[in-house]
Amino acid sequence: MRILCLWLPNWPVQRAVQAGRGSAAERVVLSERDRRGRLTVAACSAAAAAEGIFAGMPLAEASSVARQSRRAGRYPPAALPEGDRCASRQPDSAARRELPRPLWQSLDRWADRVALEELAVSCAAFSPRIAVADPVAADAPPGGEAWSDSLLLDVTGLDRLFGSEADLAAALRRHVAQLGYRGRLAAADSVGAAWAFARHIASVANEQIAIVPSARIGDALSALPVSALRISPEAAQRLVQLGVEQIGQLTSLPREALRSRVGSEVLVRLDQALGLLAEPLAGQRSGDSPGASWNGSAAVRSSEALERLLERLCTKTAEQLGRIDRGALRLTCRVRDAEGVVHALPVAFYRPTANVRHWCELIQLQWERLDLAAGVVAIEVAVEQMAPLTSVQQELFELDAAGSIAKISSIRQAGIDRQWGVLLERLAGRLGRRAVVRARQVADPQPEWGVRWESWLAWEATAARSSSPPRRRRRPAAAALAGGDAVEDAARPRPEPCENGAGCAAADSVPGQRNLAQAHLPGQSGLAQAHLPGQSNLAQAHLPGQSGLAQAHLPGQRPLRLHAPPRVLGAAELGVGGCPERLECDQTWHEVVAAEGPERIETGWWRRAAVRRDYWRVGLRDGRRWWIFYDLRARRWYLHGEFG
Amino acid sequence: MYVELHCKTNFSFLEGASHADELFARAARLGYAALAITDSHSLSGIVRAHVAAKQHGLRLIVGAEIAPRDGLPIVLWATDREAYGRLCRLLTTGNRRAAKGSCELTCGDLEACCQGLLAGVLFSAPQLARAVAGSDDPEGPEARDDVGFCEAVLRRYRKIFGDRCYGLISLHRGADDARCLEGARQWAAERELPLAAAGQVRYHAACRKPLHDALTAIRRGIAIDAATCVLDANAQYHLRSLEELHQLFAAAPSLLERTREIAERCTFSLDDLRYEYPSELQLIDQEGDSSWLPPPASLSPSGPAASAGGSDPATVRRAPRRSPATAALVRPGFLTARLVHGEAVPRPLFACLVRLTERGAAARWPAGVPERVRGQLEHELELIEQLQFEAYFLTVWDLVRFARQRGILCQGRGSAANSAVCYCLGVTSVDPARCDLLFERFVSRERDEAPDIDIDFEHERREEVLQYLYKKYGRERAGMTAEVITYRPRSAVRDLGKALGFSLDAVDALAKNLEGYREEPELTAKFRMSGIDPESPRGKLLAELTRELVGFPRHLSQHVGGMVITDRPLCELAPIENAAMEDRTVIAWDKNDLDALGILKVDCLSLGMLTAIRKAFELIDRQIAPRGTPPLSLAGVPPEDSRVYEMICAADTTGVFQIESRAQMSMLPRLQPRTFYDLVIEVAIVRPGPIQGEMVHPYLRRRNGEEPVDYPNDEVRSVLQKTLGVPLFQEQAMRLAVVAAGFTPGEADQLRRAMGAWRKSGVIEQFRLKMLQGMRARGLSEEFAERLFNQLRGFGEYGFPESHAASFALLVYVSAWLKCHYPAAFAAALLNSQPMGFYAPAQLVRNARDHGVHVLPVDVNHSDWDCTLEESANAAADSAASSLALRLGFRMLAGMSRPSAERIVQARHEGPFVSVENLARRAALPQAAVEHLAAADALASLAGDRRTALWNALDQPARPEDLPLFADQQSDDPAPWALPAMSPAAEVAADYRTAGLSLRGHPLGFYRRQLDALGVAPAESLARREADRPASVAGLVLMRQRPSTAKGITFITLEDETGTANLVVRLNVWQRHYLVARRSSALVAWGTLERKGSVIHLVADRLADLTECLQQQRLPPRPPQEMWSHRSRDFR
Repeated sequence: MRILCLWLPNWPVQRAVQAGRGSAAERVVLSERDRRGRLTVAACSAAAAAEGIFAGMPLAEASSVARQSRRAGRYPPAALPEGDRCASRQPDSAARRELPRPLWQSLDRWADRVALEELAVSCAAFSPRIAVADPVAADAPPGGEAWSDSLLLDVTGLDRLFGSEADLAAALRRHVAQLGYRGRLAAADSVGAAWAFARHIASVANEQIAIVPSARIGDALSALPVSALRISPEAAQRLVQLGVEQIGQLTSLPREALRSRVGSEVLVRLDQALGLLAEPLAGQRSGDSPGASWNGSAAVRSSEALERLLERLCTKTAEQLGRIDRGALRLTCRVRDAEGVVHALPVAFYRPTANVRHWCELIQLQWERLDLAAGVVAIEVAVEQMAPLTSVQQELFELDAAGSIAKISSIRQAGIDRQWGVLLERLAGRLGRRAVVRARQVADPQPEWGVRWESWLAWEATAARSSSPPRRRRRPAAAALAGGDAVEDAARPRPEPCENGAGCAAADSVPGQRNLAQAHLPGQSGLAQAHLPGQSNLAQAHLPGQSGLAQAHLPGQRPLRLHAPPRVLGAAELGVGGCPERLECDQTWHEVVAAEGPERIETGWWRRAAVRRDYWRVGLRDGRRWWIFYDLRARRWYLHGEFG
Repeated sequence: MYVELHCKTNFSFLEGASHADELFARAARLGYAALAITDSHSLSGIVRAHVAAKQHGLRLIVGAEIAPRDGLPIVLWATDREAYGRLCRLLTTGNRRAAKGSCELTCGDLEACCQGLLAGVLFSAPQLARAVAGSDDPEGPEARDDVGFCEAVLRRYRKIFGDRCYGLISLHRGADDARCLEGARQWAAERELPLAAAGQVRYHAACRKPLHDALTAIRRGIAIDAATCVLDANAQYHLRSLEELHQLFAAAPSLLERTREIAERCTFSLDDLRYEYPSELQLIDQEGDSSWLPPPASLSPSGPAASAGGSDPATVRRAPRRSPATAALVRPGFLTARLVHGEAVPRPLFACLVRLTERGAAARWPAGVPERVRGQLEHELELIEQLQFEAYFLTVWDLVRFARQRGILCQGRGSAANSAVCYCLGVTSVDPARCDLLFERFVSRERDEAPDIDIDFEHERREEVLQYLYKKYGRERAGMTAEVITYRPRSAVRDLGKALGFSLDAVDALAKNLEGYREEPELTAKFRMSGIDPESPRGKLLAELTRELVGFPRHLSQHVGGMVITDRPLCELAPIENAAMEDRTVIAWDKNDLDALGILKVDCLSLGMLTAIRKAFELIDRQIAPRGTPPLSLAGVPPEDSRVYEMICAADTTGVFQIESRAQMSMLPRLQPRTFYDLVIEVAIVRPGPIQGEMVHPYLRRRNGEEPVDYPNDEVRSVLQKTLGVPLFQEQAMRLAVVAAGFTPGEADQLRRAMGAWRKSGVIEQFRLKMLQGMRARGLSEEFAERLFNQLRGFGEYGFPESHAASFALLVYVSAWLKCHYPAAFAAALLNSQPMGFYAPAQLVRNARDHGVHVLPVDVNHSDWDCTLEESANAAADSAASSLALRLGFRMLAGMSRPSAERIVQARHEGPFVSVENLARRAALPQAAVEHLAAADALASLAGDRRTALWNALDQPARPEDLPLFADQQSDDPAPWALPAMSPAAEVAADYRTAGLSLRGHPLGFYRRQLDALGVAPAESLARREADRPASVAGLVLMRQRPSTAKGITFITLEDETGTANLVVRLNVWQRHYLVARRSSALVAWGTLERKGSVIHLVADRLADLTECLQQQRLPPRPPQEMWSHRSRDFR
């Protein structure tokens, strides 16, 4: 058996650099919480390491290191040419330029793993059996867990197809380099040996490829350090303490004496490396997340054929989901055209669904916009997030003669709800997810801030969620299988729960909020929320004047619509408590016959403009009721809204 | 007139946003009749409120807001002393039940403690507000629940409190004030609940709203932008003007009137807390025990140093009880005479104190009490009698007596401790005849404050003393004082930065840059340094809020050693809380609060050097001193030994108490101490106070005769004569305020306190004016006055009293004497008392070896847990005095457990161990422990080299129980093949890794060839080099220090195989080489050599990591990976 090991040094950093293509940050620092819960550096790029940042360093310290060298405006000595390092002269002005900010990211183990598996898939041309090597404890960052960073290819007998093993390895290296990754490769007779050689023999000198013929494996191994055996760091350290630093020394020790002193793990690993103990290649790729793919031998151009293909893949995927009684919340369809360009078509759903037709419809909405003139060579459908399916037995309820009106209306409501979801998904498919938003009520004392806009669909909500506090994902599958609650929660963004304390009367309106919002929507003409993609910017998502839904906790005390901006009023003859008796708007004077107030609102000091206002609810002689305020800063009267 | 009944200070942590004095100042200005302070579940801020209330002439009503788990939140006010006690007891119950910082109460608890307490039900509580609003329209089931619940709770409260139950209505210009008020009135009227107005005050003025909002965000742990749902809609929660209140409550003015009615029912004032001394003290007199005093004969002739040496704990233990015959030697009491003729009914405790003092005086001065001391004694006793402090002195005396009986070294300090009375009581050993101490410093007539005596005990045995106190008075009546931790700029920006949404690393950077910041103007510069624009809107907010927040209390912590002892249960004096430490409780007040109320507190502190000295004494008595010599004691140390002073002058003081720090060591050759008093000055002079007040150089110049000594007038001369016209001690500074500016001693003391307070206020300026006026009136120059004021200011914060210095100087002398004459025993004692002091064990051992001590490594066949002295053939050859070698103990090994070590020592009684297996079996050691010993090379006598030992150690069963029963092999398996030998460098590295030091050599010694190639000089050669020339040096980093007085300069001490070198790293160099400077454990420094007298520094301009430099050298040998695994002592 011949095994080719592809080792991708510092894989998470490579992946992060690749994912953030365009940002040419040389200094990449990936962080993670270590076992003690402190934020520490898990991995960093060579440039960052040259500054003195290392895995296991507390993040705060790493940031101050980076800041120091940024301020000094120079690269640290190690980044300079070798000869300059200990020279006493000051760094010259060229090196004194301001460094770019380093790229700070949190380690995304899931994305790393997925990318590695994708890489494995893309290497299918080189071997029928490819496996992602299991993580090795010795590689773990201090205080953290190790990650996979190697691929293992079974290349037994394949050398002739490529000329030789060296040619095969070189071709694989080129392939990997095209994808933007750097790797070192080694071929040997066993997984353990290939793994060890990739790390310790394949170096810059021999083009990062080491082909070790069967006859030389024993010799080559014996010169390597014992840590090349994939043994635990404790065992390696113990061996070093005993003066056993190389594998050659280890093999000359009596096995039984060794076993009682350093444990059998070392012996197993030694035998595996020497090929004395068989080690099967792990399975193809982890089949945790449902999905299906098609690889064509020739490009397909016919759109009908493609649609059929897509439907077949979706059906396959849906079957997988059906077995575990789940529906998809997010799925991605990746299409590779004959030129090698991969298009990703992400789809998000309002509620978990396993309806293949619906999937296809939404995918095709995006598909139509693609330029696939060259033809398609591969399609993949993968479910990224799923949740338990909720089934409603509609007919049973409708047939129930004793059903009360409330029940029927709730069934109707459920039907509307479902259709509503479909509508949202279609709109989102066509216009972009960011364009489909809904109002969220926020308990903010300042009326203009009472409503904010947020996306309807799961995708945006989860994206926003995971971007703020970096959640740690244990395994790729865990996120998807996290259970109904978590996903359900993600699918339905709610306002942050606020405690039922004083000054928080809005709390009790929260549970009903969703229904309230939905009940209004069918009536809202033209679904104004579906803005055009270019115009909807969530950053400025609050739209003054639309706070009709807000402040529901103050029944009768807030008008449904607000003027944005508030309209200036003229006022005359201040009465008791300071409310004017006559108001002027658009050059017409109105007589105030009733006034309630003042209600003072002073808030927003942390925003650009703090407000200080005294609000009044006034009744005019003509029967209208206004919500007016006196701006205590500008010393003017304004009309903010009208009741009724 | 209106009384605010519901008001929180910032002791409702993260709720209240104003200091008590701000609240009272404003309330007084607005014309309030009184102000209640009702912090949430706490009385921690009540003493400050009491002081502020007095200052502003307003009455304080004492209360607290509590939220029973099964009830509605209410405010409780105490009507009298008994009710106050019950309030404290109630809060104690709740605090003790919950985790630190929280309080859990139920209505049942209220029932138990309700008597005398008035209650106000808060209508602003959400449930009640909903119930009131929803009672006329009970639509939702929630509202119905609320109504039912509220009615039930209210009925219960009415039953508990009867006519002492009120309802509190607060209006804050909400959406529907009028309807709320009307609804509440109707609701209350139906239930016959009298109503009163309240303000729910959380800050004194509207301008504190932003801070309050920010605190709310901090409390919730969210950014302010996300916190809008928990923020108030407006700033109405401040103390509002009477006019505004009348406008708000126009519909129901009676509510305002009722506040006065409630206030009038509360007659309690904190002044009613009469401190009751523990009654046990009365028994002391009956005991009539004076055995603590040595017989007069053992006192050395009354030379000045001898009396400073003072009484002697060791002799105490061995001294025979005084026979009746010796009692006859005591002259008829000169003090007792006063008692007889003086008051008609002398207080028994005072009489007891007088008798004890008298007996002590007779023993201290067998030849008769000097006239001056007698006068002082009379004066002090008079003050003590007048201020009724006798019980305090007796308590201290009792503690000291206990410690001496147990053989625990102790020493009192503080000027109260160094009074003549304390000298007679044996609390201190500093002769009052020699120290002209200001008695008023601790007992001031003007302010009714408790005296302050700190007692240092051996750090390993202080717990025994605390346990004695607990045993004697019970946990009910003795407790630890709290310490209020306040916001410093650093913690303030950390919390506020997060609340304002700054990125974590920006906040972190800013917080780091704020180390030691005090003055305001620097803040903007620090912001810029940390990449935060101080002009940006958020930057401005952060700066502003930080300024406001600094000085706010943050949480309560445990004081280092302050114990409070009371006669009645402590929990009726102040609430008791759980401390963070398990089984520790603290009372909710801090030191200043206790001072303000005049409550007894004894500081029981721990001091490592006392432990070391006792251990050294024991080693010497047991193993070195010839038989028959009296055991050593603090007093038994021969005074004024010139060899000791020579050693001190040469700055050879590693390990000596206090004068071992780098700053002290560089001062010693300049000061050249030759007498005990010089040591007192030495201890006091290297302090931030004198350094910042720029008094060090004038003093040195005058001492060396380079500058004339002059005084503006004779009074000043009398104060400053002993320190050559330069004030060095806190007492002198205060005394100057008295003689030069006409302050009374009490005022001088107030001045000191005002200076020391963290918060700035106008008070200091008042004192300054008063002082300048006083000096002008006495004809002193403006310049002298300003200078003196600045010096005083320095002393206020960092001053060191002469009385402390004198107590410390004695320990300096004794430790120096031990080091000089018994270096081996001294080193062993220091090592056995770790962690303590300034140096790591490696430096102590090295220093001992430099002094000719033969040091032996840890070995299972020779070592104990502690380091010991043992006969050694080698050592005997060196010198007669040090015929004993120092054997390192198991305690030196990192990760070695004491029980394992003790089992080894125990098993060794049967004979030495013969093999690793033999050791493991007889001492029942688990494999991990044997492995540990092997790695530390402690099995050398069994298995030869380290690797063979480890090979054998690894073969032992993991758990001792698994040992085979009959397999007692006499020898271990030989290693199957020769394990590769370790290089000497690797051996040294392994020594450092396991024991933190090596006896084989210094790690740097292996690389001298490479260092020579780099042009790096050995450390000891620096002394021979020319100054102001470039030089370089390399070494292990022993410590990094950045004294607050050094303007950002960092001092780094390096050590190589020849000695140590001192680096001065300026801020720009520090920043340029930040990573190396901050982290490297071994480095190379290039710079300029600087010499001041015999003090040599290398002013670094470039630093590099030693490992990197060596690796580039390409000369063998390369350093192994963990060559420098020692830990430097940084910024301590």
